[in-house]
Amino acid sequence: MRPQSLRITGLVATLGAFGACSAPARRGTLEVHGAYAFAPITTEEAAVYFTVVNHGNTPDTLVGATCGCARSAALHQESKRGMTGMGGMVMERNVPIAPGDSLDLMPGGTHLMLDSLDHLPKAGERISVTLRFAHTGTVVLEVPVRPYAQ
Amino acid sequence: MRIRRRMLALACAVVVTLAAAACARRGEPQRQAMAGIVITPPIPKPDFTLTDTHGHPYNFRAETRGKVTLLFFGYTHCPDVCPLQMANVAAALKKAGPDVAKQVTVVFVTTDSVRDSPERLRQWLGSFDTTFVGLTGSLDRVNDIQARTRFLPRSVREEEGANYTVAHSAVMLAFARDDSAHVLYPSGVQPAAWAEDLKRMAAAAPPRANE
Repeated sequence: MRPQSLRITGLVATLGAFGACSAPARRGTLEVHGAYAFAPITTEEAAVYFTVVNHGNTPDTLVGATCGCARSAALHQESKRGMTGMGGMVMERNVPIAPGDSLDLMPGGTHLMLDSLDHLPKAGERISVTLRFAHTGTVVLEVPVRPYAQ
Repeated sequence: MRIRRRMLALACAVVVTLAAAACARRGEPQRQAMAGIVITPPIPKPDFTLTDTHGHPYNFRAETRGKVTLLFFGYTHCPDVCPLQMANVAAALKKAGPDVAKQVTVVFVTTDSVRDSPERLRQWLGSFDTTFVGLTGSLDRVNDIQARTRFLPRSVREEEGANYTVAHSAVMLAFARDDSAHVLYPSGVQPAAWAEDLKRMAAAAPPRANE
């Protein structure tokens, strides 16, 4: 691990991640749990978080995501420049998840960005997000929306 | 590379400070720890003028002199860290109560003046707290201010296209009434704990007239 990857952001932002999460979704050897989204300020974009665990013996790859409520969805992965919580992002098209490994999305780190929403999701609402994996196929998440501050 | 080295040094300083704070707390069990991270030496309040959301020049040091002041650099298209910080500090001020809140100035400097027009900034900040001050200026000027804190890294625009992101620091600097930042708040500090810090900072003695 490069020393630069020590981050305040991801580390402490996790403390704020509590409250309503979706029930775990399981398909094949993949488990997706802890999904939630923050109630966005505008309809321009919204960030979604979840954890994917690969319980299988073969690698799988997250190749895409869609939400009926948004024009597009893209995974933004944290670039490794951070120090004082320096949060740079790069867009990822394919994210591999090795057997026994997990993909963790969290504030200050990797997130699924929904662009151009058809309405402003409110706290307490649920939005349906479909994840597409190379081997497992699709996993549909009912993502609870929560306020930024609890 | 120089920036990375500086950031590395900074992280070490934070770790050392945390370790020192932990030791100090062991020796002084009666003293309540701050929810934020104590920084030593404190950062003097930077002197800069940017444009507020009414289009007027805003001199940060003059406008906030002697007041508890929270300073954050971010942008409104930021997915989580910026709205989390603003929402949490707004919730903390609410919990602390109006007597404390009126003594605290929250200043948000955009690192994305290209997309963050004064109108957009006003609207976005207003969704958290209508008293929050929003300031705009060119990225060069904003980076110069961050450099002058000798603490915050430069903000860097990343990716091309309309949906670009801006790498920026996640920390909020908290200036006490002596116009120095002794504490910083990383993303994710819970409002209840933050409110206690704000009460203590608001209650601290103001600087003497000639200081």
